[in-house]
Amino acid sequence: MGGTADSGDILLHMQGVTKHFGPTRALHRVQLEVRRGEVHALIGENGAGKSTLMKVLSGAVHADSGTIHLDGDTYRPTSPHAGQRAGVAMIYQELNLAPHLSVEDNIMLGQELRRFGLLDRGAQRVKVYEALATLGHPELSPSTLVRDLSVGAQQLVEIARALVMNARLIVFDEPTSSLTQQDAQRLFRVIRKLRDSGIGIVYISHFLEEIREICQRYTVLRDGEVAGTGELAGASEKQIVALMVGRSVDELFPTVPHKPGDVILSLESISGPESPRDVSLELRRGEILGIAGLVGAGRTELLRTVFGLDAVKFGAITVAGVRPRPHPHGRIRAGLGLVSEDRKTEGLAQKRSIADNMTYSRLGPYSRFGWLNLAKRRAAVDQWMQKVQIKAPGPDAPVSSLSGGNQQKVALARVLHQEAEVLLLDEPTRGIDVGTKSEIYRLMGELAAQGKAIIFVSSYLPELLAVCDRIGVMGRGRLREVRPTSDWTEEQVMACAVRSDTE
Amino acid sequence: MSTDNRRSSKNEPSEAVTHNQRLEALWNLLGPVIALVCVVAFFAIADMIFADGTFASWRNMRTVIVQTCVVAIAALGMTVIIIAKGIDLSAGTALALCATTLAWGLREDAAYRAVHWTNFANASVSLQEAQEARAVASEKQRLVYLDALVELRRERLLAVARGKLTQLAAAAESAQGPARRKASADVRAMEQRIEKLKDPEFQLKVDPNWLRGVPNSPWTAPVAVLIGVGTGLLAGFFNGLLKSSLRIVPFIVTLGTASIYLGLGNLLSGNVPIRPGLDQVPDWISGIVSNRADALYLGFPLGVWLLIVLSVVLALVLRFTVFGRHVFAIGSNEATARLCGINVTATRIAVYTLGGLFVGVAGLCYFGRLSTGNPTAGVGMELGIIAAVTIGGGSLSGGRGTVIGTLTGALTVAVIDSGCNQLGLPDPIQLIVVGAAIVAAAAIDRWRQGGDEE
Repeated sequence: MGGTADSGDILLHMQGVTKHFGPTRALHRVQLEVRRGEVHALIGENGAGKSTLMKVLSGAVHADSGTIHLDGDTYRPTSPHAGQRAGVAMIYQELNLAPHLSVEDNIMLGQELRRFGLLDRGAQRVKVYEALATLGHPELSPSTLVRDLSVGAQQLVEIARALVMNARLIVFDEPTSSLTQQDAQRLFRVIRKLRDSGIGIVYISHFLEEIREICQRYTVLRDGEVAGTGELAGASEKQIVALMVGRSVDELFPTVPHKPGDVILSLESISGPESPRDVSLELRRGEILGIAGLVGAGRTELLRTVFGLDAVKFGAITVAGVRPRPHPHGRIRAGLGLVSEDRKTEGLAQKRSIADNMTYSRLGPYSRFGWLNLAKRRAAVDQWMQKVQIKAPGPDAPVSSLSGGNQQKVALARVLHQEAEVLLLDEPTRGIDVGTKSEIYRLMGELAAQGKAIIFVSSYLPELLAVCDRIGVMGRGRLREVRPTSDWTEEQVMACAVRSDTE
Repeated sequence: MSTDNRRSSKNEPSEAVTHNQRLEALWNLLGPVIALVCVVAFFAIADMIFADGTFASWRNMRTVIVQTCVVAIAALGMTVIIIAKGIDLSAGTALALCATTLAWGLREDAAYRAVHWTNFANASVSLQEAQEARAVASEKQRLVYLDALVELRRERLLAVARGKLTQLAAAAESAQGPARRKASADVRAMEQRIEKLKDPEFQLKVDPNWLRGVPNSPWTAPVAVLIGVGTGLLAGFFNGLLKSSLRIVPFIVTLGTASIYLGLGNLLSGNVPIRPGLDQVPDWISGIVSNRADALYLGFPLGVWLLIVLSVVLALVLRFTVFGRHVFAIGSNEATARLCGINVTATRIAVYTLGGLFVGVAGLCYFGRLSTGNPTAGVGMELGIIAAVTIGGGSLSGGRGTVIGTLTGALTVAVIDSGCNQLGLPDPIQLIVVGAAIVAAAAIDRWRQGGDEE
């Protein structure tokens, strides 16, 4: 740990930070130390508590107990605004900019310089130029509207904003997830500059290579607790992954033997309005096909197009030899089922019961002339809850009362309940605990063994490599390459995903 | 209780959670009812202290219930719309439009007119017009066509009158007691009219007396009701169609159609409320929300029974049909509904059409109250209707609302109105109290919801 460091070097010191949300324990006695002029990696799976910890740091959430020291002073922000004034800036994955305002206005938003109650544009301009120069990007024009900038440049605007605020500590939350390779490299140069100027940086990312490239030390969170911390130089990738998941890889990815059969789904060069573009592929019964790619590569759009939520502009979809009708209802009848990547806003009607959510797509078996037999439905839902092991008070409990993992099981159970033959799973393991993940992998294997076909979209390469029979990589809406899993390595998948198209 | 639960597993829900959920469901249902009981109790006590103590009487309670009928029926439809995360600002003017078309149907003797292309009043007026034209026309014009026209119209009116006479005679035959006396008087009056019309030189003067006691065709009342209720159905369908095809938020769509329906009503009525003759409005319609002893069946007028039946049916539909489930699905998360293959467009159009149907029935009751179709009377009524739903726990953010809640919401508003009246509080105070009740109900709801989320 940081025991060898001179304590005067320590910029941020969080100790014993604990936070509960109702009965859920989000953080338990978390310790985090960031030195001046270091980039500190915060690693952990989704739901491990990283974002809660950072919310505590920013002031958006108050810890139940624990202490935070910033530069030796007690730091207890009452709001994100107070945190910013104390010198803690956050750069989130989703940028926090007003698209219709200029670069300058965005940088100075909330910290405008005034003279006689009026905006002091001249003084502001000086500050903005200063900040952009510090970042090494004086070429950005302060009067450009933010919406006209690339995502990478928008991020620079956010960082400049932090500089003008005199930030001492900057938190980067998955900053590269929507950047091109060049933009990411540019960002790394900026981060190194900031580091060298003595600012402390917390860097959150899933990409271990990236972390290795830019960070010096790491802290791993698992289930709201610190699983380990240390120098990156002395830690292997395997060790860090083991710390993240808390169990060996074999335990995490149970395998169920299954064999591919006949082709059930075939896509012939289908294109949507923007994405996907010209995607062809064949999926067999008993096969799990993984789709890898960066955020925005068009993976979700591919699933949505296949499922009829987005329009097919060109190309043809065939399910078991039949062309399904062009809306979700038709696709469901043809045997397709989609689990959305976004449980909250799309996948589930949070306020409705488990029973409702599970049966919305197929109420037929319980209805006569439009009237429902609720007792019959309840019995069926009870069975399904046992089959996929949903832990809940009962079928009538609202979905919002369940944990993320159990919610995901409800979404999966819906697709199974509608007797889908082809399952389109979009990030089905995102934001759920390790135990449930493992259950979902097993379920996928079992389904394949029963002859169902699965398309499995994920941003987490280890699970794709462990679970899938074949993996396709998407980029810019195109399906770039499909190979059997044994022919891929993690590096090759990444290289294929980030490759810039030369067309 | 939640602490020992945490030890077993992070995800395992405790019995306490189940219990809380049941309590919450019960509270959701009973909350508005308790509020209503409190309001009633408050006014009853205040009334005993400050006024004559008749507020809590059965008679007054019945009056309150009868008064709330129109709003309550429309609010049932609004409940479905609000559950589906919609809103219908056109409910007020649509309701008045329904009452207006219904009044028009009765006044115009719609069923008779549909078959004969005229009715007694129209045939009379056109004869009079022809006669007046002949009186001031030149000799030549008379000879060329006006004599013939008058003759033609006289013949036609005679035919209508003979038809009505047959109908009157049959009615007189089967009537009993005082009704029989009135019927035979009507028969005699009609016979006299026919006698007069037989004289080619008879100059017709259409006045209320000439039109009095002329019955509508027996089919007119059902046809007119069909027109009125059908108007509501169409108005709702149109709202749903616009919302779905143009993809505009329902607030704006119905704000627009509210004005359209008001305009249509004014167009039909010619800016004067339509008031059918006394003999043209059947007793069951004029007594539909009346406290007259002869209009009551088992203690309540027809309108209240209609409200009860519709409430029960709607509650069952919401809970026990596929349609009901889909309405809740769309209201709580439209994206999920799409994902599950629910035909969102069709369901939404059905929701607005159903809302329109209820507006139509409410329009029928509203017409019955005054026997007048006044298109402008509905302006602002939608607010009372929406207030009833929200006081009853319906949420404008969709997915929440109950029939019981809406009924108690409507009753609460009516009780406050009546209670303030009883205490002799002036109108402005009433408005303020009702407004405060709406805000309070929403605030309590918000507070409870906020408590759930954290």
